[in-house]
Amino acid sequence: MFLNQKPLIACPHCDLLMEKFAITYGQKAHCPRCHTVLGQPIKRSLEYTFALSLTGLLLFIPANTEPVLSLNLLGLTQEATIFSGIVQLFNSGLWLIAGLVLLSALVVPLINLLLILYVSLSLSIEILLPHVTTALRIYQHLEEWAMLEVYMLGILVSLIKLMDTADVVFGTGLYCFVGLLFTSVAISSHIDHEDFWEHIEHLQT
Amino acid sequence: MSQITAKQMGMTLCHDCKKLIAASAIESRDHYCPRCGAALHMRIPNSLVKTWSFLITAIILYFPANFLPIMTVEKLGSVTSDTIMSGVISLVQHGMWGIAAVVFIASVLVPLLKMISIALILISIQFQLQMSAKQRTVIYQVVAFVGRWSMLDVFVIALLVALVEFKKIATITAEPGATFFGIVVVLTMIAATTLDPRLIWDNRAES
Repeated sequence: MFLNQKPLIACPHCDLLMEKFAITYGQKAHCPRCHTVLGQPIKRSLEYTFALSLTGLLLFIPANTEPVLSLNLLGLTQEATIFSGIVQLFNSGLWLIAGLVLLSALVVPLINLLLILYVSLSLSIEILLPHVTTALRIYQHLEEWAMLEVYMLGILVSLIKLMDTADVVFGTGLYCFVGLLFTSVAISSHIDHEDFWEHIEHLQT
Repeated sequence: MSQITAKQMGMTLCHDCKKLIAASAIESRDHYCPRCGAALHMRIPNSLVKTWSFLITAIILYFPANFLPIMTVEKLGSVTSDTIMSGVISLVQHGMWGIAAVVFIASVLVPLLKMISIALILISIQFQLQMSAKQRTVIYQVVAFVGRWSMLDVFVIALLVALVEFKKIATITAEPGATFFGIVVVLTMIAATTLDPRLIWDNRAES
């Protein structure tokens, strides 16, 4: 059979078996049967991910400590950070939804940045640090649970809702949050999972 | 080798690192991927049962999520409670069509279409309905991609309760409907991850 001749790959969405084909930067491979994207090599994936995760961690602090929006109403001012919204939800007895917002807008994005920094650091110094494979696996599973871009849309919707009743002022936190959002989107689009796993396999042997 | 699947050749793809592994490794001693350490399965175990249970729970909770108020606005003594739909309607009444459309799509249309789509895929697999497998895969991918955007309303509430906190002049508080709504979004997201899209194609190969 052809099993030992050429390396094979399978489509994760329809299980079609194919011979592994070489694709270069800027190209995208699709499954011929179900059209799922099979691979899209990214140039300098490791360097980008490492640098971006550091940037993200730096931006994470002001994005969460500085006020995102503040509201002026009849001379009174109220500032809101991401965390203060969570506290308010908790205080109204809705601890479940408070926990959900805490996880998806704060904890998971932070964990993801730490995990990807750890993995890209390990691969950059060419040493398999402990639990690197677990870290990358957890990152892959958590990726969709970090919802910074949805939160950003939430900020816009709140802004428009409040605009005609009160003065809404952008806080420093908002600019840092936008920066953090762009960094995390850039990480998702620059991380080449296939390349990372092959790099890990190479270090394992 | 146009239509041969990995399963037919006795191989399986690791769920996590996408390494192709001979299935004999699954049945014998190693149940774990040699490269990443993930548990190996030919298909996600009990995929249909798990997906159905998350989906049915989501459908049941979809009712309180929509009928219970998600937040209460207290403005100079007058108190109004908003459900998801009444929030959209009041945006329309204020002439904010664009934002009303965004909220309507994210909070009403997406969860509904998502639950219908997952149910349709599950039914088509179980009853081996003759439907385009490629189209169903695309539906699956769209469903898996858009699901998280339904969290929009939850985040809006989280921001509004923190911002509009002016004691007697104006206060916004969150209501239990928001909790149900958040749970529905999470359940449908989990349902999308427990559904193994390869089952759509397995059926076709057998029939």
